[in-house]
Amino acid sequence: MNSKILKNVEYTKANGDFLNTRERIIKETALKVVVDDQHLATAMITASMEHEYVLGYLYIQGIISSMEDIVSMEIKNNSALIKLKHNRIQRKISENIESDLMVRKEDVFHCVRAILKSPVFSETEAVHSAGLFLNGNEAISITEDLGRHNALDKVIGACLLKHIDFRKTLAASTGRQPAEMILKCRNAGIPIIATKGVPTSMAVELAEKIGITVAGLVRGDTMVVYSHPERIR
Amino acid sequence: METAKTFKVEKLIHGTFISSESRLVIERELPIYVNGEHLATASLVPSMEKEFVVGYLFGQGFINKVAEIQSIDITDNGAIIHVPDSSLLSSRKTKTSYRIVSGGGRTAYFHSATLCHISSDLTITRKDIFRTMNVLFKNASLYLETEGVHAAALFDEDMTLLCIAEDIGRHNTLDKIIGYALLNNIDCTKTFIVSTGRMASEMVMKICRARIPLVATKTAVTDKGLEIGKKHGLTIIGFVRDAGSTMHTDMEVRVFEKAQMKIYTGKERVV
Repeated sequence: MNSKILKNVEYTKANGDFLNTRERIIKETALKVVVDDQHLATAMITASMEHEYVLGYLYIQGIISSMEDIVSMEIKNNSALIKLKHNRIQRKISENIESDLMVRKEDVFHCVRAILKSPVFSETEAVHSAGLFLNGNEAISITEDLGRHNALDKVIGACLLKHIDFRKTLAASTGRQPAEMILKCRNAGIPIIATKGVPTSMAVELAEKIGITVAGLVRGDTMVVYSHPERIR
Repeated sequence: METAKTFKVEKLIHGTFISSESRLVIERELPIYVNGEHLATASLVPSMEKEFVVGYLFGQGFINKVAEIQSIDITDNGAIIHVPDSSLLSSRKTKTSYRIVSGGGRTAYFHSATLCHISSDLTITRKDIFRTMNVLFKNASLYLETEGVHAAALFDEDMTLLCIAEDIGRHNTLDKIIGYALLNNIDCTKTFIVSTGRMASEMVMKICRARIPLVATKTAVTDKGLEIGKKHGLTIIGFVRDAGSTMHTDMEVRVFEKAQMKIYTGKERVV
């Protein structure tokens, strides 16, 4: 069956012979983000948690400071129409992370494992996952998207809705971590990011400078901590 | 230019953190200036920058052919490009709507409406698809060293490797190899691509615009990627996994015992 995020298509399986068959593949949706009647951007996303995605995106971009800045939001026909409070104050994004969050290494394994149970991934092998965990052990939101950046925006949006203090959260993500992912954490105030993949050089240099802990290659019972290891004990 | 760098890290081995070293792929920002104006800043692995810039300008529709570029200089401050007739560029810029693509970042979006149908009589055997995918992995030295990159390669119809590119972004790998083909006047209709990345819409559009008739990837295709590829006559093969190949899933390493691939569209080119 088709769904909002999956589409049933015909393809040819070539395992020895050619065999025509069907399967579901991941859908890509162009979500137009319109803020106060202005077209801000169009995002290619997996059409789930669109509200959360838009909130997370606006928050990370510094456009909103909290849910209070949103007067209304409507998602229809692949457009997100947002009205913002007029006298809102430009959010000041801190250059450095201030957080006393400490987690156990078991928590890091737990969080990375928790986001790898996506049924959409099992079916399509085509999505990234992200999760945010309060105190590094309580899952606040876990989701998937075509893009790992979008998946992180979605869970950040979900935490905003729940008024979670980002300084007390650990982010888990699948896949490689370029500098842009670290910037997202910085802009939200998330002190730890863990992945089964690896970060880039620029991501680690940035994380070291601004105070973010990056744990990578979290697999089986091994991991590598690239910056600020003092938060993992 | 160095593409990997050593970092001091803490490695957890048998339950204890040990100070150690890791090699990480180098990510660098490359601002692109056309006729003195800042067009975009790319985040990429510092290799094949000239090819990247040409492929990027072409893939985004800012140029239609390499001959439109008078000069490209890759400097410490960025890529400096001179295009004598900038009318196409400015008309593109005013019409551009920025998109957040699934590979990350904001990009100018190339509308598929202006793409032509790919006409090519290229055919390839399934055996050669596995073989070229294996060539890609064998030559992806940065991937082997850091596990932190995507790779893509361009082959001609005789299965000769023309070019291989590795980068943190799957889009960048395509820009690099397409830029290489353009700079070397290669007839793209007689070539094909093998890639490690997912074929989302913007990936497929780049390939269609270069009129490369076939792409084989180790991973998936999206619905929009498939739709655009089908419409423009591109052959898309996904999940190319040779017998004995491995993949990290969850916390385990999965080994594929049987060779497998899925042909999503343009099956007539595969024999």
